[in-house]
Amino acid sequence: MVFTANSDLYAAIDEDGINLVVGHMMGQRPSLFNYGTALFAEFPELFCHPIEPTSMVKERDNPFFSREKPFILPGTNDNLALDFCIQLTALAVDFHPGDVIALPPELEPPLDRQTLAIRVEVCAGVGCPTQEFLDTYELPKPADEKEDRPRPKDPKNEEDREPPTIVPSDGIECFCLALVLVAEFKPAGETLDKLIQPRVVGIEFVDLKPEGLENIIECILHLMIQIVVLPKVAEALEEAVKAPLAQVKDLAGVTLVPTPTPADVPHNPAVEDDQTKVFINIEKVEDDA
Amino acid sequence: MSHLTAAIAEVGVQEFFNGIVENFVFEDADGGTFGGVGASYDIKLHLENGDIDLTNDNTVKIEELDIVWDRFILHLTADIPEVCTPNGCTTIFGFEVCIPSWCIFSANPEIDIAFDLSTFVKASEISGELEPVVSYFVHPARPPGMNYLDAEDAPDPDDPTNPDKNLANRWQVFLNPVWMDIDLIDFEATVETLLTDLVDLLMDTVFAGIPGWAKDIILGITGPLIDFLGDIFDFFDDFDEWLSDLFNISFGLGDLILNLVADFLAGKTPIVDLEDPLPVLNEEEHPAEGYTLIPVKIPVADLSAVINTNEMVIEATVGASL
Repeated sequence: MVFTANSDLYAAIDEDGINLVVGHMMGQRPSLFNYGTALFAEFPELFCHPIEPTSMVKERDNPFFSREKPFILPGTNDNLALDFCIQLTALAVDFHPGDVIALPPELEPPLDRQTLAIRVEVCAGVGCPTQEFLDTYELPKPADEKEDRPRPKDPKNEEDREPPTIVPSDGIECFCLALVLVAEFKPAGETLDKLIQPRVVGIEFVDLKPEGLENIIECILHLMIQIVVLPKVAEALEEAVKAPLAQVKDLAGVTLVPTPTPADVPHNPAVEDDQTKVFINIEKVEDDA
Repeated sequence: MSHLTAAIAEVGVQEFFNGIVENFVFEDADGGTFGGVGASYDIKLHLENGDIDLTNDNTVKIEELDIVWDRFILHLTADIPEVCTPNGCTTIFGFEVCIPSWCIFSANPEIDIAFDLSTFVKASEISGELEPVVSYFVHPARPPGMNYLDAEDAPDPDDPTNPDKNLANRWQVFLNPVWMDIDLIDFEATVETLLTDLVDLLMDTVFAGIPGWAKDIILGITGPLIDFLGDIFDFFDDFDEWLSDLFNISFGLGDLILNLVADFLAGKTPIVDLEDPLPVLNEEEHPAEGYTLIPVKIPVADLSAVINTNEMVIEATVGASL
């Protein structure tokens, strides 16, 4: 089997490899997969799922999670907010042909050619108010607000705003769900930094009802995974496959460019044989002289 | 089963090789005395061209790799025993005639000539066959127990100002010579010119003090003079062979260059050089929050490199733990 029949360079990573890479990412960059309010810095045991960073994360004082602002309760005029956390606790990838992740019927199995399935375990939690708080708390009235709380200098400037009251809670109410996504890679661009561009083409929670709630959560997680998580995974994947090839560039002083599709190869990247494959051509750098 | 596969087509390996060749420069100077003749050299060379051919024997064949001589100075010295005419007086036709002693080859050494051979030497060639060899490099300066991030941060004591050098472990693939051959000295037909120059030089140096008519006589017998030089330097009829033997055997310059090229390929210039663990996400600075996110790195295991007639294939697995 000739890997470079239609390109000068070839690189591939299989699904076992990418799943190990994802595991290393979760351990070494937990803040990419865990989000929560300041409460969780003081009480990390309140997270829905324990975070297991590597020893180096602790040694270098890296955060275990990305700190988010509390969730403002609508109708409270920014006065009341809830602690919350969202965690992606497990992430597994299955390149075509799908033989690891069972697609829910909504995603019309089997997995299409040139696509990949991603199964994400998601946990979310909210700090629900104590009964005592519910019995005693009253929203400040506009008059009270005028007397007791200084008016912000510039309401549009967040630093000038009075922070909201965080609803006290006895603990975090959690739920965990499995989410299955189907993704594909956009055709590689003309430069190596546009080599791997994943996009989500289908998303489905397993066993979540009612449908409206399911759609809303899917919508939020679709955004989060597409905009935040996948670019980082793609970056890591790209580095893992590009690193051996970068030697050519450094040593030989050539330019590496994605092999064009469909002229030279039908798909680039190609998702097949339980792998993601990329094809790259060498372009000799011409001397200016 | 490997997790990572990379393949480089023959054109890519050729580009690798060209890059290696472009970085090779060698300078040396040495000398010695061989049978009463002093000889020393001062050379500088670089490599050019060179075609490669991948084989199904897991090797790369190199052909027509040219050694280009930037400087090739041969310095010859010879100390010829002094020859003197006897002094004394004799009576001729009743007159006493006294002849003073006259000596040649009194200087020490008499012959002291530097030749620039670079214009007389054809581009020498190296040929050979190389096989990929995988090596796992642990820097000797890395203390036991140093973690991978500290090793990455620590400067390489051998190259402390280079930010790309550190004490991290590395997977490296070298092209190790299976065999190599060098055709070091191959003179053009212009050796005759070289010899003529040699005679002219001798006229201006060794025989500088003798009368002009005597020089004319000597120049009239250039052939015997070349034989004379041959006797001195022991090169007899085949000057270019003598020079080849001098550099190849007496100096061992061919082996020296061959060993240097081999060492350059097999020990100093990896064609694959990967830090282990391999960074996949760079560190991220967050000055406002007062921390820097550590880079995400994956351990690489079981790296292998195999060559077939189409390509060089590098495979590796992703380790489970750092």
